[in-house]
Amino acid sequence: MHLSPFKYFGPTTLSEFFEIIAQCGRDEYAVMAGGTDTLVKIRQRLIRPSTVVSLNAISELNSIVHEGDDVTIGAGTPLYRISESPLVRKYLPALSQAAGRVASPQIRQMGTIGGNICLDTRCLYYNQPESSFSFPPCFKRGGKICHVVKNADRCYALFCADTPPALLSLAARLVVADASGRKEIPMDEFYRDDGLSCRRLGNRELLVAVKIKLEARAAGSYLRFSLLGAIEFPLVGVALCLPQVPDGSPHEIRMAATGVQSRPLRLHAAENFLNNKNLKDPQSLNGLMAELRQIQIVRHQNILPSYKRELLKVLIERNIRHCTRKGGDPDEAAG
Amino acid sequence: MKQPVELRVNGHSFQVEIEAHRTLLEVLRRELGLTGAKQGCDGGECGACTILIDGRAVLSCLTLAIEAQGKEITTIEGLAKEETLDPIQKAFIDEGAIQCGFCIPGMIMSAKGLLNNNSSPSLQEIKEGISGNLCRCTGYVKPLRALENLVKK
Repeated sequence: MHLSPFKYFGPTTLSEFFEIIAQCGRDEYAVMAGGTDTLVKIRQRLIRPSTVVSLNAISELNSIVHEGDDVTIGAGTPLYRISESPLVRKYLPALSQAAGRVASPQIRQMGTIGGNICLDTRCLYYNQPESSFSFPPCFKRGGKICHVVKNADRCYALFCADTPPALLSLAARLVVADASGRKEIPMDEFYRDDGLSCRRLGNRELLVAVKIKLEARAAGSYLRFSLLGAIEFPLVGVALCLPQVPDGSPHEIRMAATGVQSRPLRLHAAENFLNNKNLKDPQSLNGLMAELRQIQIVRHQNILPSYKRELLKVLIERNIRHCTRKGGDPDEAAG
Repeated sequence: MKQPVELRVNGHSFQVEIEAHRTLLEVLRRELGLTGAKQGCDGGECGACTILIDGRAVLSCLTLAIEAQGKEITTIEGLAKEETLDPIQKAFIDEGAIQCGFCIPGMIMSAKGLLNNNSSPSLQEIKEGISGNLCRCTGYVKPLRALENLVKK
């Protein structure tokens, strides 16, 4: 199926970008970076923008800069650059691993970190060609029902992107710009649990960069489980970050998961449970499941919530083993 | 509205008049007659349309032709130098890694992209390098063997 016709703009600066979108009606335009998500949605007629504004020619968005304590990654930086960057590999291993696990090599060449952060939630009842819909419109298609949860008052589509949990575990901050200026939003405040609009990003705003503080947080990892080994969204992915403390009892673990709710989810209860425990002692993880039972998970595509909880537990345990093992090979457990 | 676009494909420049919403795959196949890159899923899931842009493997079904201006595009047709096959093509033929042939151009272009950046990949790296290419004949063993043989040489 062809893409539906649209006008195309390829601004080379951010100010040019904001001038262009100021002249477009609210829902008339789509912003495209790598195109691996936007163009699929246009082809499936899930969105019908009359204008597509591409970010690919805005060179300031494609950069990885280390300044002082901060690493700033432009939102238009392709995922392969992030996964291959020696700086990111060394200091932000969870992010490097997550970026290196997205979809396929070709999609990592094209797809950007900004696109992955802003990736729309997904649902079996939505992500397919519009012509194949044989059921009444759900929230995502402008209706008032959800086909996943009966009598639901909101959309329960799943957030499945790989890099946001890694960024949450690294306490990243997002730089959001509009025509009048820039602001920083902590990653923790960027998402809400609503499949229809999980990002707190205004219609005239653009995510331009991610900032991450380089603390003594070199230990970290991201692991995911998916039904296929490649070109597949994760069923569940978990990122973990812990300060390196020589005695093995870190005090401030940060963990987040994807594939669980309509937003990437900080695992606060599990973090509190694990803080101040000797993580090298497998016994210290007994009782972790009780903490995970508090997390609300709905059944998607016949994957039982209990199965996802078990995946969460296993991925947390593997992440911990991975991070606490001396001289561990970060790529070994990335299966 | 059609507009003139200049594309540099396999070392040659081509002028085409296209609309902004045409993908590079459509232009390669329909305007330029380069049908080596295949139209499979048209959604980024199968890798049959893989080509190289500036030496890196990308999906031409999700690339707007208009955005490929000023870049060096290489398709499977551009790999062989006159009568001499690219070493990857030769390795695939030597191993009989052909199956029905539909996915093979994409797989070879993915392998080319991999080898451009890593001349001696491990078996695991080869597997990851072509993990974005689906073969419906499920014939992955021979392509992997072909690439392993090539790397060992």
